[in-house]
Amino acid sequence: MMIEDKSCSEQSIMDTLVDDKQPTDTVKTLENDVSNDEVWEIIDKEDDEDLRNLSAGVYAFILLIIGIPLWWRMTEVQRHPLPYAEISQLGTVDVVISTDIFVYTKNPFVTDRIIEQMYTTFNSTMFKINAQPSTLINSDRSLNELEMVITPLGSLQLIETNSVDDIIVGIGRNIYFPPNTDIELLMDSLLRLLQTDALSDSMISMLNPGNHSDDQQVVTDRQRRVRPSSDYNVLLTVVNPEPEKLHVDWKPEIPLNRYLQPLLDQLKLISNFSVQSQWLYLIDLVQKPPKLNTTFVLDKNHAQYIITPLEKKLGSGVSRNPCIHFVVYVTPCSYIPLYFHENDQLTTAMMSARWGGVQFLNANEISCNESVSFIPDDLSIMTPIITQFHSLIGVPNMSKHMSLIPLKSSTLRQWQLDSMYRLKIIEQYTNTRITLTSLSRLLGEISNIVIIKEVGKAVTESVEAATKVLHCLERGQLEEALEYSKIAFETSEFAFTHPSLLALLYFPDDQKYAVYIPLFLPVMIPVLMSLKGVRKWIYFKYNI
Amino acid sequence: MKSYFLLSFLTYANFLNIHVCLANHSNNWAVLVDTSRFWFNYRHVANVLSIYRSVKRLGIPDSQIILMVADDMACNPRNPSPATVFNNADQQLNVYGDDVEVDFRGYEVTVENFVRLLTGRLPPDTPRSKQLLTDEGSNILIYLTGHGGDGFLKFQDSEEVTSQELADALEQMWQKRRYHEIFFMIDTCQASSMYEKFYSPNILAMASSLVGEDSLSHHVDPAIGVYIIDRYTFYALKFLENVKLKSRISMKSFLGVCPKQDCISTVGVRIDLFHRDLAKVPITDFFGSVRPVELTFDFLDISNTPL
Repeated sequence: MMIEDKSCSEQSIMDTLVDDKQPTDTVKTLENDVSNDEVWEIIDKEDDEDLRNLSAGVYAFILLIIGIPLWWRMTEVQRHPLPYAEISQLGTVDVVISTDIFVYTKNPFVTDRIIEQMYTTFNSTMFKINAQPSTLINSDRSLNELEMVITPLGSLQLIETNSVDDIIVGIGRNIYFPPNTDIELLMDSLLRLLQTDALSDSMISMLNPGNHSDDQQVVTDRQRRVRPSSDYNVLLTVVNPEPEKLHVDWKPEIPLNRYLQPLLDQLKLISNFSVQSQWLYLIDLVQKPPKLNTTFVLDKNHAQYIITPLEKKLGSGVSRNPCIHFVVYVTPCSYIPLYFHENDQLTTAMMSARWGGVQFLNANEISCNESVSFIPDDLSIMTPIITQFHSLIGVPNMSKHMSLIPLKSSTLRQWQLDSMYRLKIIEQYTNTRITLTSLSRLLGEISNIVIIKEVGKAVTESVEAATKVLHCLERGQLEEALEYSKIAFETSEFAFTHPSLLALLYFPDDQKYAVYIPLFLPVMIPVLMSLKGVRKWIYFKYNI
Repeated sequence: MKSYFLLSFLTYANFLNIHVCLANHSNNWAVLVDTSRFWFNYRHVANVLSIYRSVKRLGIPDSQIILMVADDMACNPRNPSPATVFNNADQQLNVYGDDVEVDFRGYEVTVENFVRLLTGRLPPDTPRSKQLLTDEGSNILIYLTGHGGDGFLKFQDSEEVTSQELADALEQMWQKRRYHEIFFMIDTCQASSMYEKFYSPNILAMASSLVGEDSLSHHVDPAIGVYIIDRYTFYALKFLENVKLKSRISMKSFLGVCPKQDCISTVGVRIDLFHRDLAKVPITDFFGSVRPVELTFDFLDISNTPL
């Protein structure tokens, strides 16, 4: 058409040039042109309609068949498939800890009765007890010799012996009891040693916030424990408010290495602890302790206000890990001796749940008055620290309820370590379970959470590890269960808090339409409208 | 058979010894956000610093306060008295104080950073001061101020957080056990629309105005040339200034702050998600930080620890 037009106009230019000479000829040519044009136009019209409809059809095909699904796919929230079935299964499976308990008595009938009683006592708890007669042959030995009897990890051994007058718990995993002990008492001790109440309380309180055990002691113990983490910092701060008056000569590294390090070595399967110490000077206590007789006392109600001002100066905010603080506050000379006070009892140390402990270090008068360095006693500083550390990490303290063979060391008895393992496994497992079920629920509730491949893999890994925890516990393998619970805990945390989950934060569903509809609708209208014509054309072309 | 089930159920229940009761919180956090910048929004910075001043005075350490301030009014060239931000034309109270630790400033105050902070989904290299490291024992005070409308709060001049996004973020926090209780305060126009979509438990919410109402500013300081504080926060600060660390003022009396004749707008309160008796909740449960302590009397004997 265009070419035709062009030649036509060229012709007419030429015509005008030769206008004067050959007018008739020009008219003729023009007439010829007109008839040519008409023919062409008819051909064009047919071609044009074909072309037009074809192109409209192609447009519609590209937009509707390729474009929209592609757009839908591209703007879809990326969700790597997660093992939803396994996750919801975690919520229904009960935790069962298999525990071997060996019983030795001189009389096989008594042994059987104890074993029988044990099965009824531990019916319906999270413990599955495998009670069996011990292979021990003779218990007429001294307690020290009996302590040599080794009981495997995670289990306990009840030994009847004449060397004790009351139920007494050893340093290993043996419990000694005199002949004719009331079986109920024995069962009570077992329940306590295995921490049945603490374990179920820990699980229930995490699963349903607000629910907890009836035993206030168990609840307090739980609330005191530091929050679960695979790394902790332990920070010992020595505060000397008056360095100009009192010189304290103490190296915290030495007692920390001696008293704390062996304990941390024992706990290395549970978490990593990194220990640091620092000195701070010229920090006031804020509270003014009143004088009571010859001593200065800080009442418990006032004592709670000293931590927050202290905390500002401790600089524990450098690490992301939870920090356990121990503050040794060297008492200013004008307040010596200074104690905490509650119900007419004095002590030098106090503790705050999940945070750490504070103790007063009272210097002797001589160091204050004369310029003699004050050399504190390592043991008296470390005793409160170790005691509080035990409470803060959740070491079961049974000394109130039963007699124990004295250990006189900062380290844990073997059954205490077993208890710690169980507690950590339950804590980490329950945490994983909550995190995973929450994640899968949130994915249903909130549509724009993204799950990339990495996160999906972490979730799968976490679910697998959590399942393995259950299997290992059922087989009584505490160390393996602990290891898997740690993996499950870490990977589930990683998955839940991964930054990519919020990748579509600025792209909620409503914006998907708000952005694209104004963009695509003007294009779509002619395409959609031409579809009618295309349909007619197809009908016309192929049905005649 | 039936009795056997009953019996086993009873022993089970007896063993677990469960009952429902709300335990206390163990730590306090505050997230204080000013979302608007530019000199004419001086009052929003004054708002957020007023609350910052109060929580800090009542004992929440800076490490547990996340302060997001979108502009620096104290050092603005238009500020006639640099390094100060006043809540009052009489210049009685310098809310800027001696040490202000701003965690997110200027253009860092974005919806993304705010939501990431709440949900804990931060890049791995985020410093601790920019993280909300709360746990199931944490009480959190969330205070927001800026320009808002029905169902959204504007951040800077470019984006906004919607009430749905905020409600979803809080739900994710609840699911991850990242709080024990939340006190949500917001001072913006149509403020109550921001808490209407909340659906997670243990949240107490308070807003400076209801839907359809504007939240008004208090007064102009002719020297500064702009409005210097909003009414609601002005009266909230006035109330908080009278709170001492050891005083037993309850949240119920705080919720009565700024009646209509003072605020002109109606203060909105939402208590249906909160399950404690407000008259028995001390204000320091959210605005202060008192760590529970116990004295240690029984010490372990570690005298024979080997060298």
